[in-house]
Amino acid sequence: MMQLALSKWKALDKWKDSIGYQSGLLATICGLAALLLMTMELWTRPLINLRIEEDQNALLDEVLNGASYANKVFSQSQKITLQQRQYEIFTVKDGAGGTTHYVVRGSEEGFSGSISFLVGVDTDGVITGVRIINHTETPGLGDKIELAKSPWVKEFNQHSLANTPLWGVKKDGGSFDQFTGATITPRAVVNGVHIAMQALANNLAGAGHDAP
Amino acid sequence: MMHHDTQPPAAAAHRNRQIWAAGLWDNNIILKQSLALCPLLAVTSSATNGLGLGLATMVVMVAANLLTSMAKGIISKAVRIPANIIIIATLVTLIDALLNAWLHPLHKVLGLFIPLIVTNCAILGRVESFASKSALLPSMLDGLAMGLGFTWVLTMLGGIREVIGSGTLFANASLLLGQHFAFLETTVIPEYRGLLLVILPPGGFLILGAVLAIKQKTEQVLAERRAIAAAAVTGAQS
Repeated sequence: MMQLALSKWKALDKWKDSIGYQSGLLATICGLAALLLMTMELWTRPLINLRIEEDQNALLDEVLNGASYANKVFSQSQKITLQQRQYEIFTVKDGAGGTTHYVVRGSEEGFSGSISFLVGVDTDGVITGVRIINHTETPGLGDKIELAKSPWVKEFNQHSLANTPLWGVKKDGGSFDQFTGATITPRAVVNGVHIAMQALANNLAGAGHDAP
Repeated sequence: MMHHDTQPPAAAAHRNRQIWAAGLWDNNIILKQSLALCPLLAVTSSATNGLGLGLATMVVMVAANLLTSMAKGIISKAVRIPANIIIIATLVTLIDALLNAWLHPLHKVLGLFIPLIVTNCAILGRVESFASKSALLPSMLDGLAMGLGFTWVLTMLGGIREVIGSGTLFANASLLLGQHFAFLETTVIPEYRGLLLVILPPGGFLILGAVLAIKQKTEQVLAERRAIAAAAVTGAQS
């Protein structure tokens, strides 16, 4: 009895060492994993997209400083390039269809990788808010550009191309604070926002009064 | 598979104690095995980050140990590593998607670290050296103990680096654990200018080295004391 069970087990073990069993096993595991992941993807993708949209809208509310809007802001954009940087301009409209704000999305090379940001500008060219969308700056130093870590980005509020002659950190003679131990990051953000503002101004000037 | 968990309760309790001791101290992933140093250095710039990665890793460890233990009868020896890697990678991807969909604020904090878990050799190590040879319950317990051991070391290192590097402790804990834990966020040194070196990965190496040295010294002193006490006992007897 024991002997029989043991020899059966050995035969099974041998079969498990065959190339056929092994490739079949791997193929089955891969197949199961793929099936599981596909199901999960189908199930979570709409939810994740919804979350990303919520995030974007929350950010939009912040850069507009709470101003209300009636259109789907991010559904239509105008892409423009200035100084080798790509910017996307979105138009914010009120219920009557009149333009109230512009939102510019851009990115700038920071200390370690690119920093993407969103700038809200009213029709007079005055900044209503700047928020960082994404960055990989040093935690504890460069990450003070996030509102969650420091109120620094609020310094941009009320600035415009007209009332700010020198866009730079104080170290460079400008009007924005730098952080202790990190100058490159705020310098990059100030520079990026400045060029974004110029891109928007050029775009509006070029388009005349029929601005999008 | 072959043998079920049929040990008497006393032996099982003893075994469980050993599993806990191994995970938390004796065979700790970082302090003893020196594994998973890459995520360790990258992530432990603050106590909250360390805690987050530790907890996520723990969940993956328990699940990976469970699945491997369940599948150990059908997985043949020669292909066990690719098979286990697929299991781990699938688990991590599932957890990533689930967190992203249901716990989005948490995912925003941990998002960067979660894919890193696949590359954590400690998980494959536990699967390989424990779960592929053990029954279900001990395997899950091993994952839990090893994961907790990993978590406390990560949190401690993150805490030390955070206090020295930026003068705070558990900053942004409420983003990870919810508003109830906002009380954890403390500023240890007000108006602190920060010490960049400690926050950057080389600082992680330095602090880890110091922690390992303290651990070695403590164990050495304890062993010497034990030897002296034992010698005193034998001396008194003779």
